[in-house]
Amino acid sequence: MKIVLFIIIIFTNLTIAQTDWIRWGKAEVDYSLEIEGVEDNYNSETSSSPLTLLKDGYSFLISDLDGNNCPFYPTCSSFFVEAVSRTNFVKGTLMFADRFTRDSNLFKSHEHYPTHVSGKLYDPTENYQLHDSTIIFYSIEKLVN
Amino acid sequence: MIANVLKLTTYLFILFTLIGINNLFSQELDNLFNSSNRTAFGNYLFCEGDYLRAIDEFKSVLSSEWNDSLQFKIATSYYRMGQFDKSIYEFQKIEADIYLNKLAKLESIRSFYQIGDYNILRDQINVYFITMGESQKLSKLYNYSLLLDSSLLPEKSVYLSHFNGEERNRISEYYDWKIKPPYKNPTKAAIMSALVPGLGKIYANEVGDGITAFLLTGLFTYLAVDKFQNNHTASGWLYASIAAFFYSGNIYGSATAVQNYNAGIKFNFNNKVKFYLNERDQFIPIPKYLCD
Repeated sequence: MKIVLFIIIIFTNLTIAQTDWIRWGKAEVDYSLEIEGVEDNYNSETSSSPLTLLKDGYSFLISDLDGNNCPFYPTCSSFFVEAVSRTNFVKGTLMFADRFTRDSNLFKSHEHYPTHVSGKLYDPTENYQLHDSTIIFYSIEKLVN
Repeated sequence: MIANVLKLTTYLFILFTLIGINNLFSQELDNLFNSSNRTAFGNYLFCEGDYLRAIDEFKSVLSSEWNDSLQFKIATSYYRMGQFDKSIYEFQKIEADIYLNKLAKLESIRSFYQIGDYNILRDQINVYFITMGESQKLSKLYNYSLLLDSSLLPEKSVYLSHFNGEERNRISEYYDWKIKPPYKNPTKAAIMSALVPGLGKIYANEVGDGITAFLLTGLFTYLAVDKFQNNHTASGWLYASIAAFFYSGNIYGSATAVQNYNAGIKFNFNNKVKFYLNERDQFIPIPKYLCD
């Protein structure tokens, strides 16, 4: 009887016990913080249109070295890509030309834009498509997600 | 032999004691989670503003016995959490209690106001008039809601007949605004920018952008002219292209700037009307609870 009990206990212990085939070691932990609301600079893996490649080229050669200095969200280069994809090349270029002028504002009078959670000024393409119905007006006190 | 009997008796005693204790505790737990305790705990959570957990408690009580008061509290909890779709759904379940049914209809109307679905809000008010009788205060909400969407307004005299005193003067102003809003013209802004770069932006109250557009277009036009005059054709075309880029972008941008300006005017007007309505609880009495 004792032997049977002993075998049951040993067998149970062996089946439930944690296996130790993997050598213990230091865990790889990533402590870097993600910046909320700021999109990835490169998206050529998912889209390979000439415009996206141009934008990625700009990001790689200029923007990354110069720093993320655009005061707006989305950034001017993303705005251009988004504007062209949502409308057409001509209209998208006109929208970009206007955005570029507003970005170059000599007086930095940006007080009428709401703030995005990323800390940048929220200026979506929807508000510049010449359609009243697409315009989303936010109060400047609002923090946009 | 005697020793074996004693041993067996001891085992049986331990076994029955364990079973007895288990039953005792399970009975106590059953008592603890009975309907009245859960209702009391739900009420406590509701008063503390812990609406999500209060809903859980109330729903578990309702699964065994229906109670319109608890159902009203569930709907109110969703309303107070800002989940207006769910609050409307829950308010619609109240039917038996006549008083609560009337309150639930009013609260549904308030929820439709919060969602901004003014067409359904007016339909609901009409249904309320048919089932519960005319209400002067709800007539006011009905007429105010006409200012908040693109509905056609009735004749001014008819519209103002629902109001009197100081409120009549205020709503008269709102009516005039709605009939003739102080919007600016996007085409006019585009033409202005075509004549003088940046002028359309200034017209849209974006003075800094207007001056910047004027300087950028002017600078590159000057450079282009200068290069062409000195027979530097290639750089002349380059500067001319940049000038055309800013010039055309500014014409387009002036029109969109005016559209955004108009959207802001409309937004501020709607906010003013809503602020007025919210100060008066949308002309619907707020249900009072013991803990309020």
